[in-house]
Amino acid sequence: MVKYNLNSQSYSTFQLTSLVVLRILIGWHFLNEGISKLLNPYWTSSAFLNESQWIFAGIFKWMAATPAILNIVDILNIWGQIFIGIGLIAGFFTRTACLSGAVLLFLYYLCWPPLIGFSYSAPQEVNYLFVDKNLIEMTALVVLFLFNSGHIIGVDRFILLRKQRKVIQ
Amino acid sequence: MSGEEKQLIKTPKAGRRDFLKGLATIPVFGVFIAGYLAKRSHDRSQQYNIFADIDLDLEEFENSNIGLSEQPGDSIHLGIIGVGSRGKNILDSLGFSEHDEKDGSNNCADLNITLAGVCDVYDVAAETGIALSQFNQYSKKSARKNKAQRFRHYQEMLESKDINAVIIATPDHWHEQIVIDAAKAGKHIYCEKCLTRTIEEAYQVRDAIRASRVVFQYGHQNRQQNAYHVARKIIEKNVLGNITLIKTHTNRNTPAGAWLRHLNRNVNPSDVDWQQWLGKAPQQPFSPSRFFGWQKFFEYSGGLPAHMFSHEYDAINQIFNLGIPKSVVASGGIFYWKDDRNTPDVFQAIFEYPNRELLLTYDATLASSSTGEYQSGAKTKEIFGSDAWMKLSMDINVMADRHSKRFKQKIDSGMIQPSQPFLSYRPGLKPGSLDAITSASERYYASQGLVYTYQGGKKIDVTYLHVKEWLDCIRNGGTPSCSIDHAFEDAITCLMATKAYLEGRKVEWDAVSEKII
Repeated sequence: MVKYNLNSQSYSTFQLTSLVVLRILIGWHFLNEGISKLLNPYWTSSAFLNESQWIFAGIFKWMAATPAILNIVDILNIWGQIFIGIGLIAGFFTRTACLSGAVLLFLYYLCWPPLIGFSYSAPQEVNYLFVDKNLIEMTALVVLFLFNSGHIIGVDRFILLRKQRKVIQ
Repeated sequence: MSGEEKQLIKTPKAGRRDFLKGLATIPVFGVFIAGYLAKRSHDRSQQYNIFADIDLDLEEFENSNIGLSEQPGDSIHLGIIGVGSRGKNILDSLGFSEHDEKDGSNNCADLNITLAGVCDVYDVAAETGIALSQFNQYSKKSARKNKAQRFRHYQEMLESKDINAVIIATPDHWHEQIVIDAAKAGKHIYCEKCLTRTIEEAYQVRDAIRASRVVFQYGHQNRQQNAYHVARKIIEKNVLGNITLIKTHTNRNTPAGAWLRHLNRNVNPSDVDWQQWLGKAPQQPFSPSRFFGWQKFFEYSGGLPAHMFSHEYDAINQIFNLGIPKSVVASGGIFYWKDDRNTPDVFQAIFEYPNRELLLTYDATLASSSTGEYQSGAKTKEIFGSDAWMKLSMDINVMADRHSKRFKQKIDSGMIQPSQPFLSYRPGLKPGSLDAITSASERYYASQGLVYTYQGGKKIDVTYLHVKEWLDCIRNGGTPSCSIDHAFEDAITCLMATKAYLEGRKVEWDAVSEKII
């Protein structure tokens, strides 16, 4: 007998723990990045955008060169990172947070793709070839999106319970 | 969900277990906040805010000079004399461009100007000027189909009632005569550096401008450079301590940089009024090398000091108000570019300011683009004080001296690291974007700023601003920032170095009689 259908997937305790830990770690990373930017009055994405390479460089540089757009990009970046971080840690709108985080990371990847012959001036501690940390973190978020855990360990659990109560009533 | 299934499911009421599972990860936020506050408190203990210490607010500089209002009244009718590479650059900065769009153009307003006259001894250059005069990308009235009149001699242009003001971008050996005649004709003058070819001519030009009522602007567009205004403020606040040495440089390593500008250019001698171009200079058969690369010859210019040091000197002069040095020694030679030139390609000069207790030095080579120890690009100036030194280009970085008494305590406590800038200014980031903080976590942002060339936001062409300032003074009165007095100081200082090199002696300036000794 199923107690109540919280999950179409069922995980072993170890599987569930791993998914939640990975979710918290990525959430922590996002939250710290967002808060650090929020509290640094000098931060702007312009330098990052300006050094973009490859076929999308034109779009990113245009963003940096247009003050109004740059301002929006900066605000979206800061608050996007903060909300994604909170969502992942708390398990609140987890799947939305996973997807938004993956999209954001994919944009970072496209802005600074680690392709052969491309180099960037921000410090990079290792040499990348096609695969960088953005791509790995993005893929981890896709995995977390597909193997959801927020409705088991997370605030989403309450949302699901509420939904199910409505269905039954 | 079928009715059968519904019955199997118990009413999903949030129990204690649900509550625990739903909020299981919330304590992570507590750990995050505690960790973040601990890190912030550690960083703060390592921070030193120099701006608070010296009571310096730099926000005003970010918005200075960028007046974007449209110019009222009648259009000022400009004439340009000399449409070589610099003349064309000026026209481009003013919006007379073949390109539809220019980087930073969105920051430029309609200057309400008409390019009414073009004068050049070279048909191709004159035709270029006329072509450019027909479209101004900053002007909403560009559809009015203006077409500049060609003048074959500058005097014809000065006689024209249709011209209010002239831009002089000829070779230096023509500056004196044209400026004097333009001042007499009552035309406002924007004159490129170097003011004159010889020291003697500089007196004549100054007298002519002083005797006239025209508005004169000298073409050192970097008077509009925010970094120099900020540097002046920092130095006034005595952050650097006792300043005794200022080093300036020129480092080039290309044929064009060494003024071999006739290469790959087909010029038909019949298109050039060579005799007019020579003017008072010694007779010479037509030479493309001289025509396009006149900077290589003392017959037409003052050589490296007049062309390259002039920029460096004006930067330093606007910061320190140094004026003319007491004495100059110089050395150099033609060591690399073994062509027909007679001006040196490697050059050094020392300018003494005993009353200011400092030396200004200039070293230049046209055979290496390396700036040596300070690989931060050409035109970097180094200003050395007893407490700190400043690296100045378009950016400013101030590093503490490891033996500074003023900063000793902060160096010992790790708040200032002498190898790292403790005060940086990078124009154009965000209004008031000043990095005056040293801490491990903030240094990353600082280092990013040092390596990037910012291209967005409020980037604006300094030549546009410099000409705009001149036009504003023509319309509203006032004296532009690079007046005839600054031009005179610049010409005398630069040409003293040329004279010291040519005569192989220390050249001295008598400030009382205003004579070279």
